[in-house]
Amino acid sequence: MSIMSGKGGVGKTNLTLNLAYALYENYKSAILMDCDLGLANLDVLLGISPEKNMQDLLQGEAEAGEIVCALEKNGLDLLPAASGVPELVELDEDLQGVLLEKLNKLFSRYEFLFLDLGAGINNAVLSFARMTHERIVVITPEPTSLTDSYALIKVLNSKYGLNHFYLLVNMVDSDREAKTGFERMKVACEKFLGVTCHFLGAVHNDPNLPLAVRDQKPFIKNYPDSRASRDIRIIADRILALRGAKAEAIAQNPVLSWGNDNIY
Amino acid sequence: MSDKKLSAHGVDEQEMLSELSELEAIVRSAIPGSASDSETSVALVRLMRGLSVNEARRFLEAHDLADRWLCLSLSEDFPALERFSRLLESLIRDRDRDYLTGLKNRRFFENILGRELELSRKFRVPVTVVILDVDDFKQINDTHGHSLGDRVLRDLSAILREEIRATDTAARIGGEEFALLLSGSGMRQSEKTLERVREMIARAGISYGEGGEVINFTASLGAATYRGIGQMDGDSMLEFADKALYRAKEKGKNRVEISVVTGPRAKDTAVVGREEKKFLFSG
Repeated sequence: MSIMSGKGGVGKTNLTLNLAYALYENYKSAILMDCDLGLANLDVLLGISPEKNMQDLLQGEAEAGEIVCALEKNGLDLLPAASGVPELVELDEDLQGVLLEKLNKLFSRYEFLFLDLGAGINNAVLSFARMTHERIVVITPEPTSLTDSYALIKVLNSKYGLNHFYLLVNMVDSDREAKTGFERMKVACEKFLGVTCHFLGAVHNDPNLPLAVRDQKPFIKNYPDSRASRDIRIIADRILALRGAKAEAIAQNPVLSWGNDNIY
Repeated sequence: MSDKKLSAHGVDEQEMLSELSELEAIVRSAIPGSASDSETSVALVRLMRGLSVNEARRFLEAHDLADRWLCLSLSEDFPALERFSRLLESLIRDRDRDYLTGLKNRRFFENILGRELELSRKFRVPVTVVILDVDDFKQINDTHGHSLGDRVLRDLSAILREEIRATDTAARIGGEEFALLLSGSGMRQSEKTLERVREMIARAGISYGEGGEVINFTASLGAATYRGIGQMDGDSMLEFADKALYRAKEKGKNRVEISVVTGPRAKDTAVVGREEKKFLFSG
C-alpha cells in the first residue's frame, strides 16, 4: 500500500514506520520503500545508510536483498530513498519494467509493503500511488490538509480512475475532531468525485512523539503504552483484517505494477 | 542544396563513426555474450552525466550508437571508453548547431521554445516567435547556383545574429527557413526589431562574378506574440507564426506580419474548485 498526503508535515513518514513496526510486532513481515525525495527520509530518521543501490541492482552487481536495510531482525526492512527509489519513476518504461520485476521478487518475500510517498501532487507521487494495491491518504483536521489531500485524490481519480481510498486522520486531539475531518473528506469525495473513502483510523497527538524522533526509533517501540501507540495498533489490526479479506486478489497480482489500479 | 549536407552533424562525423567502429571491434573481441537495453541505458547515464536517461538514449538512437556504447561499457576498457565519451561530447556540442550557418538548429529551437513558453505563462511576460523565409530562394539557387544560395543563407544568418539581442535565439529550421525567439518582446517591440531585420536583409545584396554584379534578396517574416495567457505549446506557436508568414507572402513578400495569440484556457487551473473548497472548509 502507498501512504500519501496532499500536504507535507502531517506525519506520514512516522506513521508508515510505526504501522510497519506494529505489524512486525504481530509476527508479520513488512518492508518500507521510501519514495520521497525530500529531506525527512526514513533512512535519515533512523540514522542508517545503505551500501548498495538500484544501479548496482540493475547492473547485476547487487542482489535485491542487498539494497535493503534491516530495521529489526527477521521481518522489518527498509528500502531507502538513498538507494535510488525516487528516481525510479523518471526512468523510461523498459528500465522501469526491469527494476520492478527485480523488486517484486524481493517484495514477495514480505507480507506487507508500504510505500512512503512525498507530499503533494507530482509525477513521482502519482506514478507510485497507482502501482500499489491500496492507498492510504493521511490527513489532519486542518482545512488546508483536507483541501490538499482532496486535490490529490481528485487528480488520482481523474488521471487513473482510482476510486477508493483509505483515510487516516493524524494529529487529532479528540475522536470527534477525527470524525469531523474524515466525514468532510468522505462526503466531498462522494459528492463531487464519486470516490469512496474508508475510515482506517485516527492517531492522537502525543507528547512522546518528538522524543521518539530524536531517538531515531519507532515510537511504538519506545512508548508502547502511549495513546498514539494504541491508535497505531488498532490501525494495524484493521490492515491485517483487510489483507485477510483480500488475500486472493493480492496473491494473484504483482506487488507493484501499472495495472494495479484496477484490481479491485 | 542537398538534404544530406543539411542533416550532417558536424564536419568530422564520418571520421568519428569510423573511429567508433574501430573501438567497437576492439571491445567486442574482449567480451563474450550480450546485454539488454536497460543495462545499456544505465551505463549510458553513468557516462553521459548531465543528460537524462531519455535524452541520452534518444541521442544515441538518433546516431545509431547504442550498440557500440553497450559493448564498450561492458568491456571496462577504460581508455577506449574515454575516447568514446570524448567523441560523444563533441557530438553533443554539435547537436545544437546548424552546420551551414552556425546558428542553432531546429532541435535546439524547439527545446528552448517549450521552456520559454512555460516561463511566459508563469511570469506573464510576452514572447514572440518568428518564422523567416527567404523570398524566391529556389529562383536564386536555380539561376546562380547552390553555392551562391549558401552565401545568401550565411549572410542572412549574420544579419540575424547582429540584429537580435543576446537573450534572443536565432535558428535555421529548414532549407531557407529560419526561426527567431524574441524573449520578453511584445508585439510593438517585435515589430520594430523585425522591420529592421527585414530592411537590413533587403539592403544587403551579394556581389558575385568578375563584373561585381549584385543580386538582392528579400525575406518575409511571420510572427506570433504570446503573452502568457492560456495553454500554449511550441508546435502551436510555430503554426501561428507560419500562418502569419503565409499572410506576408500573400500580401506581396518582403513584409512582416505579426499576430497576438492566446491559448485555450486550462479547464482546471485550480484542481479544487470553489464549491469543493467551501465544503471542505465548513462541511
